[in-house]
Amino acid sequence: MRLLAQHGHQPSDMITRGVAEGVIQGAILSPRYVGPEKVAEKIVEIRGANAGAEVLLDPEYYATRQIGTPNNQLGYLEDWAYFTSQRRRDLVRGPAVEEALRGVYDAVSGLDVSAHVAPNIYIPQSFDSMEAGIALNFVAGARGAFAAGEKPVYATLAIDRRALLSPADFSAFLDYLTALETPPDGFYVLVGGGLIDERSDLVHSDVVDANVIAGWMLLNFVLAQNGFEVINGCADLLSPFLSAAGGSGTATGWWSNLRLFSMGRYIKAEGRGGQLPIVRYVSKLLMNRIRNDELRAYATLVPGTLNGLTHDADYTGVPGRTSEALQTWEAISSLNAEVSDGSIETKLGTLSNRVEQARAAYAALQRRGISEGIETVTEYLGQLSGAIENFRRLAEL
Amino acid sequence: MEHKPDIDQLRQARPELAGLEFLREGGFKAVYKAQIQGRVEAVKVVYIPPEAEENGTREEIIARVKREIDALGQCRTNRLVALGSLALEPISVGGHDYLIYSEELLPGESLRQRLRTRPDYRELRVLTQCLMEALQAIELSGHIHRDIKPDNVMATGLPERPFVVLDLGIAFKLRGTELTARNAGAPGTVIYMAPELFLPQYKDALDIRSDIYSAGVTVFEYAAGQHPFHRAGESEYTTVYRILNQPPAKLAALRADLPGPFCRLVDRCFKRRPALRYSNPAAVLRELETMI
Repeated sequence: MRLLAQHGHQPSDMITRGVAEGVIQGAILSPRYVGPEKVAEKIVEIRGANAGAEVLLDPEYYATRQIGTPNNQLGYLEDWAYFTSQRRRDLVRGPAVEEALRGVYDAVSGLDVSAHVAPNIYIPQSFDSMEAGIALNFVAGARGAFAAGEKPVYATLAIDRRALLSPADFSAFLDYLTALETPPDGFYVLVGGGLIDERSDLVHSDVVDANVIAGWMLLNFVLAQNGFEVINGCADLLSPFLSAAGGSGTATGWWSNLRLFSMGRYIKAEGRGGQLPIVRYVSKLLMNRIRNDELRAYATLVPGTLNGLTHDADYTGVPGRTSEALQTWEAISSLNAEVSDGSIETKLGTLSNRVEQARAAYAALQRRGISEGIETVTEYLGQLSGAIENFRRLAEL
Repeated sequence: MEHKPDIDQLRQARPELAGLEFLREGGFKAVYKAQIQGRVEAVKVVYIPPEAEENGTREEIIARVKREIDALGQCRTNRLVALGSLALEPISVGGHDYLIYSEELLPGESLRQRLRTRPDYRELRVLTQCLMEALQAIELSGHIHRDIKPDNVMATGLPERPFVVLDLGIAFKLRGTELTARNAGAPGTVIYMAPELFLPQYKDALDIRSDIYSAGVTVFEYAAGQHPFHRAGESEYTTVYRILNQPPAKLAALRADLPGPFCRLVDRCFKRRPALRYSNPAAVLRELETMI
């Protein structure tokens, strides 16, 4: 189980430090934040930190739907030759899909990436939609378009959370994905929804829904059972859940829009901006991010709030953004490691125990007079428990 | 079978079928044993009802039998019953119309006759391998069988062909099969049918995984001595409800003596969701190879 950095606007050398330390095994680069002239240099930089680092590049083709949208923020994406607007009715026909796939291949084939991530469009609401049909054409064509590259090919699945809530359509989509005549080697999966800004966190996001998480886990389980690699972008604290279900890799970053996927990230919403979010600490026990002042208070009352890992030391003072990213990766890697071995039942049991321990820890904090946000967290943990149960049912365990 | 041909009249109509003997019958088909050009074969006689002429289904019946024969002819494996030397032709016996053709006559008995013999792991592994090799050939020919069940699997006792799959009577050609009265309705034998076949739009997603499901149920039933969903004496509606809604017992719970990985393989073959099953017979065979 690999943990990768979800690349974004980068204020320092977080990725190279993370790779060098081994808290992450590589990175998923974003062409929104690195143009075609600089991308090779960026890859060299990461490989300089660890020659064996896994480097992927998400072409973010799904964001082409925001071309021409007022207030879009597409960054360097518009410098990439493949990033051109396509009409949906053109994509329904095969040649436009092949052209789009080839366009991305031409742009990335010379890069020293570990595997190619093939482009796809965004599935906005339902698997029973024209977009889902187009997305399947992209998946079906990925292997052929990237065949000359002799590197593994991962097809992108960028899915709105709502699509996972319709079991019959989702099931039919899975049936198709697992019966492709020329399948890719794996999938790069993004699940999201809702508007996200730098201060959004997972606990408050739309993705935290027992059915959505269970569906995302099922997607990983089914694809892994059928021999595919599954890399989950923007998975953040859900990483251990996706790993337990069979995912081979997850990614998260340092801003909220790198931890949670949303098409809203490509639109600059009015009224957003201002102060940067407060640096937080990922507590394995609480399965949550807490502020530094909360960490101090909670750790006094419930010592297990501290992970007992190397980067805890960064939190004795006021940690910087790089320390925050490294601590996040360290904590999530450690959670992933707990579900890396054993049967699926064992892994789900480990996760259930983790959720129960978090619930008990929050109850202990509440008994000691700390009640801020407890209701939200209880709801969040309830969704995680529900997700495990729903997944068991969906996966027919 | 309605209007099963009288064996003496059949002998008169086809005197070249030496030593003709009745073997068994189904809804529209009777099977006889006969010597044809010195070889003992299974002669199949399919009834064409007189109303078929009036309601336009005569051509459809002929087409269905032709499809079965074509499908068998296209499958290159000895895991399936082979065609015999008597080619398909119409025949009239006692004033009734039939189609007649032959297949090889296999020795042994069907798995149905051998249920509750508590087969050992070695035999079950060989059975699973033979079924998957048969399905692999069927898939390669662009068909699905749609009626894998213990009645359609012969345990021959032959070392080179221990288990052979029979009866492609309702085989479905993926891509291009025209709808007929029969295959527009519910295909197969209900208690062995994959859940997706109960959906009205089942043809949209039909693939070899439906056969893998039926093969899984067949191996489970043979191994455990009981069907994973059906109970003796209960209605098909009850069984269908179970197939669609209830998890089956795990094979390991009924046959603790069998290796866990093998039990899990069989269980996975008949998961309710096609995507949770093996995607094709080759994937099952690859996993079987990893088992001792």
